Amino acid sequence: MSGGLMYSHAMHNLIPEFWKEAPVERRLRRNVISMLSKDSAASLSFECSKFSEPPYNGFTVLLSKFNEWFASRVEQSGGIMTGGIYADDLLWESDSVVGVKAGGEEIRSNLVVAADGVNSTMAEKAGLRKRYDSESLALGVKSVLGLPRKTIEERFNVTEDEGVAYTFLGCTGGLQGGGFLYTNRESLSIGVVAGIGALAESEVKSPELLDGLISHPAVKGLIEGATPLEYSAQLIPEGGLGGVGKLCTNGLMVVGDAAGFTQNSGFLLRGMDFAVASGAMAAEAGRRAKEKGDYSAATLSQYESLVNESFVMKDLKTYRHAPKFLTNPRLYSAYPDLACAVLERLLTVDGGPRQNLLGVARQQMKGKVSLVRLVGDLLGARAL
Amino acid sequence: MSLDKLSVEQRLNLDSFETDQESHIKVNREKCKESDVKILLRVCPARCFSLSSDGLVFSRLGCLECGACRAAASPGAIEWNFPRGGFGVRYRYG
Repeated sequence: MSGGLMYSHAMHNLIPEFWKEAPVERRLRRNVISMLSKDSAASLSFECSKFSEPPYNGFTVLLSKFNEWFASRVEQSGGIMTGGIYADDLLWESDSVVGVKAGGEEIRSNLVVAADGVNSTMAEKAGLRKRYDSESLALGVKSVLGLPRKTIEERFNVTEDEGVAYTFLGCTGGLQGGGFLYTNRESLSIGVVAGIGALAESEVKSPELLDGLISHPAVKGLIEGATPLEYSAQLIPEGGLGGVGKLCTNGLMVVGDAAGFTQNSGFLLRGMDFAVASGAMAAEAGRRAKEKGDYSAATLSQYESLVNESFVMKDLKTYRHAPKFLTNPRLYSAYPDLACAVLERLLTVDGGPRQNLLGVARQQMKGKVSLVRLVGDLLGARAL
Repeated sequence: MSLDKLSVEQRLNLDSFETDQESHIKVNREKCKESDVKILLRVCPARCFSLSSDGLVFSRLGCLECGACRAAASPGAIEWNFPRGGFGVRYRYG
């Protein structure tokens, strides 16, 4: 599963204009970043007509449908898809991977690409990276809700192909994390993500994470009348650059979430474009290895070079300080509360004495956030 | 029925499962500390863990295969694997 938002550049690079044939849901027209307090929401909405022009910024997708299409494209290109077989271990010959073990059978291969996701046992077994620790993992709990197409278009003020992506802060009971809501063609994807470490130390029960968001007054109206269709959960590697280990060994490469290729900048969560691009780069390195007839780590290190030169590693490096910045608890409670409280005071007209912006802000910060902390955190936001 | 009125069981009933007779996740009682028990009861989004008179029990019914249990508990407390090929949760939407 996935959150359901795919930034299109990587897939467009692989299959130009994929949106013309792929089962995408809606192209992203508007982003809304919303800070929630108990009963208020302070939101920033951005829309751009460029987002509605090819190659588009992103699409909402339902991954099961999308993968089915992608698998058919693989078959059209001569690939053979085999489902229902679980590779439970790597097959070794001295220090080289020469295939996988699956349910007692051995499947031999010149090259194995581990795309087994965040819980990748292959990357761990091959010693390419250590098990992710709880501090570099987040749990996402999601629900898909059915809503008629027309209702979505009226409610979210979009045309038939356009969609909206909401990011919520302050909906996790103070835990590191946030929420999202994406509009699909005839459904909504809504979910909450929370750091596993923070979650384990709290009293919060993970099935209840979603409840806080869906019952929030600012969200309730968006999902009103929707029918629950699916409930899902997934871990997300959030260690950034620090979570990435070695990418290959003799006969094996590791891609996507299994390699730790995700990026969380607080207002943007990316994984699918990294996964698509790293998969394509592994394929290219595999093609070169086949030409040489040599699948050793030395040859496969071309995959590492391709990744290092690409946006994948460049973006992970740009945001290398983001994981640490995002552990700041004030981002998930004190600041959303502050933003809502300041705006509430500024926008309430009740005949009482008025205060200017600075006065309101200082009053609301009293006892909650010191000026020094606030300035420090603003400077820290350079990590984003 | 709106989502906020649904219990975890009702939410899981929306999903499609092919449940194996073998359990893909095992609790290692020797390494599972008291603090792990508390964490596992809370962190599993499908409430697959429960307390019996013998201690913590994992039920594979409704497991969403997210890996939160292995990630949150002390190393070694949970022996974690995906279900065998052909078994487990199948997301229609994803």
